[in-house]
Amino acid sequence: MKKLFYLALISLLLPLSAAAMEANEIGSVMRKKVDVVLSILNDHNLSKTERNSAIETEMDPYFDFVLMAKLSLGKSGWQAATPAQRKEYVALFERRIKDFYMSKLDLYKDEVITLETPQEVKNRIYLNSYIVEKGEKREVLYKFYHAKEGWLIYDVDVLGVSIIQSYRSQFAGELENGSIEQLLNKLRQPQPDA
Amino acid sequence: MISRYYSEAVFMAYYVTFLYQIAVTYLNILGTIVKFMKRLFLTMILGFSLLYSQEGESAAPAPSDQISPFAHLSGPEDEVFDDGFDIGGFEEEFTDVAAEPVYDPLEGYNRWMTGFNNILFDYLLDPVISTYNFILPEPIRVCINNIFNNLYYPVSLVNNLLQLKFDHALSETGRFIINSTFGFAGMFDTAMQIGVEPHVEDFGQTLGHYGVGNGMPIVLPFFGPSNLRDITGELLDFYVNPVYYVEPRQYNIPRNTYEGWGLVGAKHLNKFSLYKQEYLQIRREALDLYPFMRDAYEQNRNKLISE
Repeated sequence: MKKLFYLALISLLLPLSAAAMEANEIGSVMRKKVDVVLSILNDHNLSKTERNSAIETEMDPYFDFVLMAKLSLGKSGWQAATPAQRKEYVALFERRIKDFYMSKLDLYKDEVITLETPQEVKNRIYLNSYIVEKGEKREVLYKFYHAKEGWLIYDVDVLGVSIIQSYRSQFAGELENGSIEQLLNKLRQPQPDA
Repeated sequence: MISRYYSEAVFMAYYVTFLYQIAVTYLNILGTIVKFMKRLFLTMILGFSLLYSQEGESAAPAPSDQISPFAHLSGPEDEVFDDGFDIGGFEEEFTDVAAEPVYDPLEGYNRWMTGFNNILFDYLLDPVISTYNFILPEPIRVCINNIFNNLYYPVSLVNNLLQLKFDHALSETGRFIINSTFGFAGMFDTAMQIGVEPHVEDFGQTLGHYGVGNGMPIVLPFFGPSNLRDITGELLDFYVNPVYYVEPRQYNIPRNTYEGWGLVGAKHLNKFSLYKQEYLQIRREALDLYPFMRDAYEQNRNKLISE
């Protein structure tokens, strides 16, 4: 039994170590990942929860959710929070942003996803992608930064709207009128289902 | 013999009249556009002066700071965490809302109007759109949307020219011709399929291109978030867009103001029917809907202006 537990633990850790991505690999690795996610989406035998968790394990290693959470809260907000609050906030934020991403996938039909060549912008790498949906071209930009383990996504622009910037403005508004505890309270409320 | 020549002559006469009519229609469109260019000549001069006054100020690119790796996976309670902001240069990348609040003198009204629009959506638009979606399947609604997009061509042409984007003006013209013919009067975006991509520009973008700021955010009933600059731009668009009725013109589609507003309503209702789910998702997701919509609108517009 104990052996089985360790095996499960190791298999959980494996994708993390395999994720390290060099700058020149971003285009090809992401293309592969997008195709895997699409095949999961097209697999109609999976239930919605199974589908979502399968996609999560595929995509998780490429996102830096902790940094995303920090940037969304902003420097002053982060520094004002206690370690316990930080920990809870990061967990809540990660859940929220994942749910948001998954709910976007519910709207996906069978549009073709095109990835452009990654562009180096200062010390970041931007990977632009688009789909032609309902007769209109929709762009999604993935922003990577160089972390210890390789290149990780820290922000996503949908139609030019940065997700992190949107959260930042909202959280700043919340913190202006109330404490971090009130913000956490709002985040704790479960998202109503579609 | 004579009768044969006669029928050919009649055919030629018809043909020439037909060509003449097409030419007249196009000349009318061009005439109106030229009239506009005259009206907006002053705006352009103003824009140029802004453009040149800004060129001198362009800051030298900042020396790219090295990101030193920080232990971001070691856990949020880690001490190292406080450094992440300054070392990575992330703080400069995003605007600090607390330090420089958005100029929003109408915030009270805007919040109220956002709430009003939500109620309007729940009790009026949602039932109407549900019925509409039930009657018209999505592919047809996409076709209708494409037709309206195609009719936006005069606006896009004028604004590409005003921004001196001659290559885009040319490709927009190409798209209009291809989609109006091979795309069955604009129902299908044939041009996109063969790789001629849209470069849609409106007056709001032209003003932004020449350095005009957004003024202040204003939420409109029905239409949602906008700002002073884009509302001004939209009013100018009325004159060029064949879907609106402002004055009697040769290429007007509506015959009077009521039909004009009817068409505008149909255009927006049809478009909104395509993106209803997205709107609902955003509404559910947002902690505070008004600032979220305002920021998203501004960011999206800034991207469109910079392109």
